Amino acid sequence: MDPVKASAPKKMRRTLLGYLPVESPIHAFHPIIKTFFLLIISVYPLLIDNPEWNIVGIVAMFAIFFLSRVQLSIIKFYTTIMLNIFWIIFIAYTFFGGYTPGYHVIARWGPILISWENIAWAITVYLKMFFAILVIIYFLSVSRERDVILGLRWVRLPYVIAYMIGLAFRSIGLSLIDFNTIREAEKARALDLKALPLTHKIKKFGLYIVPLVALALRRTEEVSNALDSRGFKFTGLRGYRRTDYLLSKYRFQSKDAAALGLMLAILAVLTYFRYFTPLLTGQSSALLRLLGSWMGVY
Amino acid sequence: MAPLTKSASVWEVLEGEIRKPGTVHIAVFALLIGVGAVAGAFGSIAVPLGYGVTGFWPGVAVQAVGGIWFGMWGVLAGALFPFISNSLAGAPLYVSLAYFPANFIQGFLPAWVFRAFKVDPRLKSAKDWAHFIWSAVIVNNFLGALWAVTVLQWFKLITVSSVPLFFSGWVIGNGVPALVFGIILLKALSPLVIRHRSFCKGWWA
Repeated sequence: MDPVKASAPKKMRRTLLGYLPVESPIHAFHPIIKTFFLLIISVYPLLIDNPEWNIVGIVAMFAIFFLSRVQLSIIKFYTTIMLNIFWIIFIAYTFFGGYTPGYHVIARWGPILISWENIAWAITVYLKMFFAILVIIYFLSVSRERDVILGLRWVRLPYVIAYMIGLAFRSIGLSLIDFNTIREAEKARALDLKALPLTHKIKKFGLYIVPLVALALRRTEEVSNALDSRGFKFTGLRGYRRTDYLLSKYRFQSKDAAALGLMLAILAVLTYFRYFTPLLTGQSSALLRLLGSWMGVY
Repeated sequence: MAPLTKSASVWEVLEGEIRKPGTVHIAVFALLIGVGAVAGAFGSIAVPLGYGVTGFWPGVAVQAVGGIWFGMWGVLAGALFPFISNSLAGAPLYVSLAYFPANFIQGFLPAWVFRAFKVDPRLKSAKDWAHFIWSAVIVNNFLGALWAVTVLQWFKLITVSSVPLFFSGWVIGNGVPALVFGIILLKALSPLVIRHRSFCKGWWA
């Protein structure tokens, strides 16, 4: 291998949540596939209660992350959020899960009864959430604003709406730049954010909204004038079809159809199993039975 | 800039004044989504209670104030930006989708009250303050929380017994920032906004 090429930095593409290598296989698909992935795969965890099947989904998602070459730092960023959700679900279900006669009580702390049924439900819900969150993280990790806009244009949404949504996505980036500018200005005035207690940090953060809104208002003028000067109209072009340059660069190929077909086929299978068999229910879970017997319930 | 006489309410369309939705409203809609998404995402990550519910959500101030200033543009922006902020904070897509009515009402109620009762967004009188507090701090967040916990239960993500925890988390987590930042935003920027061409006296312009 050419040593110069080997040491050259990897080419990356900016996504909604970070960067993705240019050679990621996901780029080979039509951008609409990413949106369909989000819309279809997000339904899977809603249909599955059985923890084993959700674990299968989670493992599959990690494999897809790996195959798509998504940076691990993105998943690491969500570790705290995942842990937070775990604690919230655990506390909400075990301590505030309620009690129905027939529940197997494992521990009793004053008025609080901790039952096996509530713990089992906490495990079930957490794994469902974990799977669903991985789907959204994946979408944000591999998609660009352009992909979302292209997707909207592909489904023939009016240009004005697609443009507005595109502008909204871009304005997030602008707001983040404004946010950092405000923070830098504060630091330049010797504000040590690290030294502030958490409550002050949160309050301080909230107060950033005022300059952010003020800057957004000022930018409104600029954007609006730019749109007017380009002859942008609410009604779009009457009697003419707008040329979709970007859309013309992508073709919905057989591999896109295959990917979409596979996602829909799995959805159909899961829907069948959900409503016509007990396979995806928590009651059919071997893992929960094993845990239950370990806790002396079964 | 439209001149304002002392006697005229800010909501009153003056003689000869033509108000039509324009590109400025498209721009304000998009930029409000940007500001709201940033404010909402940081809030959701800072004090998370789970499922996009947070103990302190400054995004609600953008919802309430956006609706008051920019009518339906602000209300829609306020209902849409949580999709982005919740997703960035790790809420599943369908939970974010299900929150849409809650986020819509949180922006719509103050927007409607300010227009229906001719409340001055500069908060000049006791009446203005009272209407702001009940519509943009208490009732809107109460209704939003009611819908949110119903949805979370519908998805079987929370139990009946944990409803008070999430309900109070939503009401307090939204109510406090709506009160503090809403007032600051209205007092600081309303005099400017009502003279801006993006200000909506009606619902769309």
